[in-house]
Amino acid sequence: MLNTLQHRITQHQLLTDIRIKLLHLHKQLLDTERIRYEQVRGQVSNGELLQLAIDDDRFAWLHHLSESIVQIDELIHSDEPITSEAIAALIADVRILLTPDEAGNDFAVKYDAAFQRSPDVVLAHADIEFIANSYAINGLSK
Amino acid sequence: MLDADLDSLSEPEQLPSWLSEQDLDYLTQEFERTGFRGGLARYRNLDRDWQLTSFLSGARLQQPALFIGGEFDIAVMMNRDIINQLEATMPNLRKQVLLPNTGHWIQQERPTEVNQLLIEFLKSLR
Repeated sequence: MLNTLQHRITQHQLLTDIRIKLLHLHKQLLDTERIRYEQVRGQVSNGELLQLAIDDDRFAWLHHLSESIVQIDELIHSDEPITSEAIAALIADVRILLTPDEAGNDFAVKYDAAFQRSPDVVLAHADIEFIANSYAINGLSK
Repeated sequence: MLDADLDSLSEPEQLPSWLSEQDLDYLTQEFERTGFRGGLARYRNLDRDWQLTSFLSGARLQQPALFIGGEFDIAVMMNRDIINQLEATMPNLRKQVLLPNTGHWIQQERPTEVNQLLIEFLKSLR
C-alpha cells in the first residue's frame, strides 16, 4: 500500500508521462497537417503554423487534443487531491478521443486519415496505449 | 526454431546468377562486422511488436499499394491466407503480382520486372 506522499508522486508521474506522450502525438499530427497544407498553399514558417493551429479550420480538429492536455495540466497543478476516479475518467476520455475510425466523428475520421499518412502518428499513439493499458492492468503500481 | 529452419534449406552447388561472389563476400563481411544480433532481434520482438500495436487489429491500409511477391518465397508461402485477403485489408491495392520461379529477393532475382511494376505503380499515383 502506497503512503499518501508516494501515491501523489506516482499520480503526478503518470499524468506527466501521459501529458508528454500526448504532446508528442500532437506534434506528429501537427506535422502531418502542415505537410498537407504546404502541398496546397506553399511553405509556411513556424510562426505562421502557430497561427494556423490557433485559428484555421483545417487545424481546428487538433483543438480537442489540446484540450485534453490542458485538462491534465489543470489536474497536475490543482491544489485539491487528485482522485483515482479523476485519473481513470481522464484516461478513458483520452482513449475515446484517440479512436481512429474512417466512419466516425470528425476527429475520428481525421485521426484515421493521419494514421494512414504517418507511421510516426501510429507509434506516438502506441506510446499512449502502452501507458493506458499499464494503468488499466496495474493501476498506479508499476 | 532457427536450427530447424536452416536444416530445411538446401545448399546450392553454385551461386544463382543474381548473386555474385563479390556480393556474397560483402554480405559476409557485414555480418562478421555486426553479428546477427540486429537481424535476430527483429524476430525476437515479433510478439512485442504485436502487443504494442494490438490496437491496429482489424485496421485497413487505405494508402494506394502494390504487392509483389515471389512464387517460391517462404514468407509468401507461410502467409498465403493473409495475402488472399489483401483486397479486403488494403482497399486501394492497385495490383498484386506473384513473380513465377522467384524466391524472397525479388529485386535481385527479377530486377527488370520489379522496376517495371514499380514505375507503372508510381505513374498511376500522379
